[in-house]
Amino acid sequence: MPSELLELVLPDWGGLDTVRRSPLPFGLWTIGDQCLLHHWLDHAVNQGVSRVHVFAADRPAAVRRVVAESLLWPLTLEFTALATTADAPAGATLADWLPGSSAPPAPTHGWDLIERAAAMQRAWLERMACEPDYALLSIGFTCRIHPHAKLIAPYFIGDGVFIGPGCEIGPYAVIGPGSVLAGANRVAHSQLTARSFLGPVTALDHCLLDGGVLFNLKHRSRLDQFEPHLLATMEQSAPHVPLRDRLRALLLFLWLGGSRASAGTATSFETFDGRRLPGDPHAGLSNRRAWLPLVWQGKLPLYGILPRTTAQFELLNGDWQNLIRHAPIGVFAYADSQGCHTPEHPEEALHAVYQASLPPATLNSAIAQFSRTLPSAS
Amino acid sequence: MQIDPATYWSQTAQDGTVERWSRNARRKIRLWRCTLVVARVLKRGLDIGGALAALCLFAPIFVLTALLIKLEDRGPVFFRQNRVGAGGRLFGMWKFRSMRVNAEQLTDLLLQTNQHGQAGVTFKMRDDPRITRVGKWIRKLSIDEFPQFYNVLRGNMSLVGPRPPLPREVAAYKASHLRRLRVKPGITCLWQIGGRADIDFEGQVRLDLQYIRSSSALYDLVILFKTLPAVIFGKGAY
Repeated sequence: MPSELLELVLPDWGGLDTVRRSPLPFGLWTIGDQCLLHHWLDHAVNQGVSRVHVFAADRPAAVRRVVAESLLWPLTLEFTALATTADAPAGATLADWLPGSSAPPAPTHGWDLIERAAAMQRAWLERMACEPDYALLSIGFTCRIHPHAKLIAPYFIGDGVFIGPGCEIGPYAVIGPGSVLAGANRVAHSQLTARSFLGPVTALDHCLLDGGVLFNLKHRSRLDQFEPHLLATMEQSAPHVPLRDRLRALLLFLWLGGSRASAGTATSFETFDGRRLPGDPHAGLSNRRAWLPLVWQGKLPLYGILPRTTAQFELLNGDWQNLIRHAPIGVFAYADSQGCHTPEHPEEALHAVYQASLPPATLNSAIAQFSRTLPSAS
Repeated sequence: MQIDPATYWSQTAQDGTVERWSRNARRKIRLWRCTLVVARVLKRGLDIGGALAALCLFAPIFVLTALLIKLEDRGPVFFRQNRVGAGGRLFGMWKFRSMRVNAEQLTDLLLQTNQHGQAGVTFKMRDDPRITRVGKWIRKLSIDEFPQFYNVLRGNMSLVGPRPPLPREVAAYKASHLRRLRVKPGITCLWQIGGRADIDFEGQVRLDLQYIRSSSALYDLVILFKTLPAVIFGKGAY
């Protein structure tokens, strides 16, 4: 008799993710065609469960968003954020491996985490290769596969993938949606995440290509920089700045004195992720007027966390670095509304982590309220 | 295809080679992005053009059918039913009413006589007592489906795609069946031209997956043309 309710607790391994430094918690990493949480929802459907309650301690805002968007499954989904996984109900199932098979011991470091995901993917590919409709399920829609490409099972090719002539895909290869394999590529025991580009005559073996960063699982090496003709990501790197924010930045810039006010900011600094911004990284609010033109040019969001130099970033502990690394930076931050105007303020990092762990626009009204007080203060 | 590392490095040493290769790579990426956009635009264009043409062409049949339905039992002409669309999102699908006004209440009683078996996901039966006299003919000729061209224009549906299931049917799905909900539902698909209601549910899912796997604007056109004889001869429709 199937149970009505399935309680799932996602693993809290954010602190271990020191190699891949993924913006997503382990439970949302893509394993084959979908994330680990969705594999568990498939399992719940097959078991005849009608309600699934998800618990997560690692980046709960991201999990909450995915749970809210998971409309495909005919299930009632609930979500609860936890401080630690120990707070989850005693009977909850730890979703740290594919459903239906026993999990290996928990990982102890960043490479363990990546290898665990790769092992799960191998298990999933083997399972899928046994399905009667494997030929129909292994290739997504709107794909163009050159007739001279060779596909060796088990493999999975996502939607909108281009595979050029002379490619050899598989065994154990997963090509993420929207990827382009230019031609004469060999991909075996490897995964390309969504919108990856693999240049001609390039071979990957026991590798993970994630957002233009290559992880070699055999030699345990991470390679960040490549010539774009070899490997690249096709993700749009420019931030999305809404028109309303651009106009607000323009008004604020004019209100604060326009180009006359920013005339003195001849210095510039580089943030930890390689972005160059005008001003002094140790200065507080005086930088902001120089950053406002970047907002209406669409290069910098109006609201986000404060930009940090590499030195300021490395002062934070590993967990906080993981949270802040992927949060968008902006001209005004929640920390500003709490009276902390520079990353060197002792409480600024706490506010930045709080802001980074919430859905993107949650604190925008508080930050906007602060930015409105600026002209009167100046 | 293999390339000798020495040849590769000697080529990269030449001025402008890496830049030329990078330019080619960027061009390839742009070209593929354009191809995907064109495929999406073509599909949507075909939907809008096809739906507008069908609404204009079948306008006299719309008027005649509406009159006949109204005259038969004075009930409403159209029937709006919640269906599950792409990604599991619900939408209201329009049809000409072919059943009695209280048909929904009779459904549970009739589930025992389901043509697809009692444990079946979909519900079909011959000589369904809920169907009206006009309804029988408009179902036979598939005229009851014509208002769905409005759903196509609104963007809830496409001309070609897996048939949108009822929420009740989706509740009985296995995980592998959910894959047919990954694309926009349509008015016709492979199983409509291959035997319609005579094909069992697993067969329908397999045909839907086959369509998803090989979908393109040209394939959509082929399916649309093959649908015409299936509709005219009423193959598998009851």
